[in-house]
Amino acid sequence: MNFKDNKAIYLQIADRIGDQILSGALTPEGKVPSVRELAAEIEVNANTVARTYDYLQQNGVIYTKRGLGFFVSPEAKETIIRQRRDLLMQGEMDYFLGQLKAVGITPAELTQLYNNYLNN
Amino acid sequence: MLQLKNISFGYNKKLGNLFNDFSLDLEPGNVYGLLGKNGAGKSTLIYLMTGLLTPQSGIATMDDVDVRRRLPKTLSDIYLVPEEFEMPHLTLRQYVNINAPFYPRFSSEDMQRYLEIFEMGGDMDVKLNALSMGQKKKVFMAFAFATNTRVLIMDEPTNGLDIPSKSQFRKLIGAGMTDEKMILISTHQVRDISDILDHVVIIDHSQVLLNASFADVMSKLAFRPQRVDDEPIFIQNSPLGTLVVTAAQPGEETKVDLEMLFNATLSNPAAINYLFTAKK
Amino acid sequence: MNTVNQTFDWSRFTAALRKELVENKRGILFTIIGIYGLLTTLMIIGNITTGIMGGEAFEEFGANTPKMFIGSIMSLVICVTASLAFRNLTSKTGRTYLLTSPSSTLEKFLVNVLIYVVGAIAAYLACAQLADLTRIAVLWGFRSDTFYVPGPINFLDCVGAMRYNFENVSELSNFSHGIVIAMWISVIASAGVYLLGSVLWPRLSLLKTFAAFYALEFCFFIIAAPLFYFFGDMETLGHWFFNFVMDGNFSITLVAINVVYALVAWCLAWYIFKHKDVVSLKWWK
Repeated sequence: MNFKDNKAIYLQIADRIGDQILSGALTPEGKVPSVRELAAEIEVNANTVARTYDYLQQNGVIYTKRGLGFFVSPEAKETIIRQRRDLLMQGEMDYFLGQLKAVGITPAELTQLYNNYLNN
Repeated sequence: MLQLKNISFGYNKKLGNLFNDFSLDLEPGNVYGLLGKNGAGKSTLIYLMTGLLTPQSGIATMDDVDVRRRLPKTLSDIYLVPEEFEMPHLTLRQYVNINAPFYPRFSSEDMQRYLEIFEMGGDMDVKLNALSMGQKKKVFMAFAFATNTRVLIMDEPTNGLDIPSKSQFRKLIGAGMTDEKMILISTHQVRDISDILDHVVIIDHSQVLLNASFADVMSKLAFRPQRVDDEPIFIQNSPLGTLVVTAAQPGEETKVDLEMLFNATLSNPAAINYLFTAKK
Repeated sequence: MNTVNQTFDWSRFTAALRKELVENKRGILFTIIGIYGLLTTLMIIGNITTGIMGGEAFEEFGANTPKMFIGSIMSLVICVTASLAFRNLTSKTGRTYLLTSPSSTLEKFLVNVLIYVVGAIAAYLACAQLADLTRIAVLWGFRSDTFYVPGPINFLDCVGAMRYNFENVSELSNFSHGIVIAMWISVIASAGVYLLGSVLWPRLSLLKTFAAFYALEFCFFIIAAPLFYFFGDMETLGHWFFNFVMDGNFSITLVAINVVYALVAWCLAWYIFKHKDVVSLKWWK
């Protein structure tokens, strides 16, 4: 796994797991690899993965069953979508809208562009 | 677990002491990276840790036993993978048969598992001297992990390994590491191993400039493109623009760039020291 | 493992012994074959040169000649094997390998002593016996009135393991016990000296030890002779020494000197081995 981003590694791993849940590669109530398994697979220190799992647990994306390991929460998909939406709205959205205004794109143009994108 | 206490050591009087009153504590459950410039004394430190050199003063202990006494119970709990080594004229099977008895926690299942990570699990009757240097190194490291010693010290482990092998090496660390073990990797090839470390020790001029966990570094330092109001500890010009190492904003968490951390620590040790030792 | 004796443990010692033997089996086998070849050659040549002189020549030499012959060659051979005992200290990688091996320092030392001194002696005697039988096998067919081939020599007898045969009352046999003891002490002493050399100078050990030993002897002589001349009554001292030695105390003198050598050499060898590090510090700089 290539950690090109400036973002903390444990967060990048969390994103990757989020992607897998959204794409269906990891299913609700499905088992998630153990800390050590994932650490070995992506070649990262186990403590980093442990931190990722802590983070995901706190956000309700995964949960533990004692002695059995980590599992995807039933509402994980919704949680992730909601979190990413919040992040987008708080962060890049403002900047993006600012760019649109700066180049004079009207709301009507924006709606058409988005509709075209969704239809393709 | 493994402690260096007030070690003073030098190779001869003319050059003076390499280490003066040097102390370092290494705890289990961690993968340490030992970084330092050429000649900073990384190999010397490793020899002092494993009882291969006698300090002029001070003591290196493992569980409070002087490692220089070279007691079997100490030696059977520390495994050193040196940068260069010779292998006897034996097959892999013979090598394991004569060396495994010295390590009470040796496991042949583990040995098999680690050989498979290196894609060398097939043939135990291969002659060791018929292997390439990289393959010998991989076999040596598989054996090292299979002994299940609590301390594993590796000097430039990725030197001589091709790119797929470096990846296998990282998997080996992941597979072989436990909470009871302490792994110390001394290296220049920072990029090969930075993701598998969780602690970094940077030495220069016989002093520990930094001894911190990655979690600690991540909470105290930021590694990113320069911003207007930064007071950077270290600046690096790269094709991507100006990158800095600077004190992290509260809650700011960036990926630890080990190379930049190393450069920053060596060029601005005072600032680093302040951040990491000042009481909050 | 923590409850096991940290200085000496039989199973660990056996494992260390096995390790040294297996790792060096080629070299050890080669050396044994070399010793056998050397002894066979010497014995055949010796038999040929003395056999021509007829059986009486052997009776003249007396029963003790083969014993001294075997003893002095044994000393030589053991010096060579002892100088090989610590050759894995030659390279840094070899030193690292040995010093990190989880057996005690005593066990590591004893393993090398057992193989390269004791084992070498046993191998030597076995080779001598075999070489003698080979001599007979090769030369038996050439026996004639003018060529004498003696029967098999019992080498254990030579080295004093069996009770001595006192039937032969030649002069030399008066010293028989003394000679055997002196021979053994000298073997142990030489082994010690070359063992010490092997620890001190693992590289080219045999040469360096030989040179150092005789340089030491030479220095001793150079210092002692003028001292005797200036400070001693040379003549009286010389007479006393001469008489002391020739009065049959030759063996005792030899034994005494060798005992001192042995004690010093072995103790130093152990001490230096114990203090060996992966890199030698040049303390004189």
